[in-house]
Amino acid sequence: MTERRFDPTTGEWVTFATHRQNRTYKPAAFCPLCPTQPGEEPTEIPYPDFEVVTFDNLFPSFSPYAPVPEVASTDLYPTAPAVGRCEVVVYSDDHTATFSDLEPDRVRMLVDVWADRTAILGADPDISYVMPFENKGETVGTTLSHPHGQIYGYPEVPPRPRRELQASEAYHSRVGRCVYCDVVRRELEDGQRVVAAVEGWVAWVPFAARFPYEVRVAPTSHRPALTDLDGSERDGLASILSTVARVYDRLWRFSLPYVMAFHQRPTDGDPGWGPISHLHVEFCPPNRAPDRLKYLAGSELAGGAFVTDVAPENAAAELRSARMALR
Amino acid sequence: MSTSGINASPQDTSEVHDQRVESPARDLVRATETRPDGRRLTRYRRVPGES
Repeated sequence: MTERRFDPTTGEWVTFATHRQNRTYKPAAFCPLCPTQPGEEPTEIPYPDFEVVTFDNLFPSFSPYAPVPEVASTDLYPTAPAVGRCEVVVYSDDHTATFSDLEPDRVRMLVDVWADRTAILGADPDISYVMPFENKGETVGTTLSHPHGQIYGYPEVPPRPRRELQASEAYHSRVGRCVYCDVVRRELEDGQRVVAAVEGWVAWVPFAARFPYEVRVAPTSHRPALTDLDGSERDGLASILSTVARVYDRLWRFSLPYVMAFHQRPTDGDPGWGPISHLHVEFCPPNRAPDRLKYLAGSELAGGAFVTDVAPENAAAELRSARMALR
Repeated sequence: MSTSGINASPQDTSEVHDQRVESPARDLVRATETRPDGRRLTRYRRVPGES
């Protein structure tokens, strides 16, 4: 079954992709993301070496060829084809590397690739939102350790970015400015939650962080999407993303798991998104301590109300110390 | 949280040609091929002097 169902009690679509139950799960000896070597079993990537490769996921949640839903749509229970795209982005042909290990030029190349895929997928009239992301580490569900991320092209704006855009629209209506522009300015002026800053970019622990060591990265100028960045802004983004990843690994001296995701302007062509969309990257590590995880339990899952165990100002200070230790 | 769900799919692929990725991408070309099962694969390479 591959289809979308609308929950009238919550107002949210849920995607069913039951074929994903059979996807590759932590293969012991064979990596499908490694280069294909002559005479050896072919992988997903038919080259003996490569820099960056993207491809359509063999087990997609969304597909350009999505079938008609098995369950007929009704007024109470709407259904829809799971139309969209799910791509894999392989960062390197080095199986043992992580994002934080990549050379600066490779990270800059990834920024170019994320922007290029945003333009290509966003031009598809069936796609309304393009979200590059990375699940790093088994703790957040990664089934393959080879360094890679994913890009989802959604048929509508997903719930979390939609709520952000609604909040931004309300703020813009009230004060006439982009909320992220004001947040970035405030964080730079205040400084106590800033983790790192480079020309045109800042990384900080959010004032109301949901995860103890959550970090957000945004441009200091209003840029709605990856495709709006010029060359020097892409340089800055590559630099600060690499810094955040290395800071996380330095924090407790192990490779810290995280979910990293880009939020940007929807691609449905509505010009109204521009003033209220401010490109940003969210890093959400699941750890609240080296040996303890922040679980989404009763309040978070059932109530949607996050309770966080570490003060954002303290987390930022720890992360700044880790950043200083990089030098 | 979601996972990749990737598996090997040994397939022949169609012939491909490099396309330059527009500036501000830096010295970047892409070559896209389509597998027999319809899935697309794009290889990105740095080629100095392309931008």
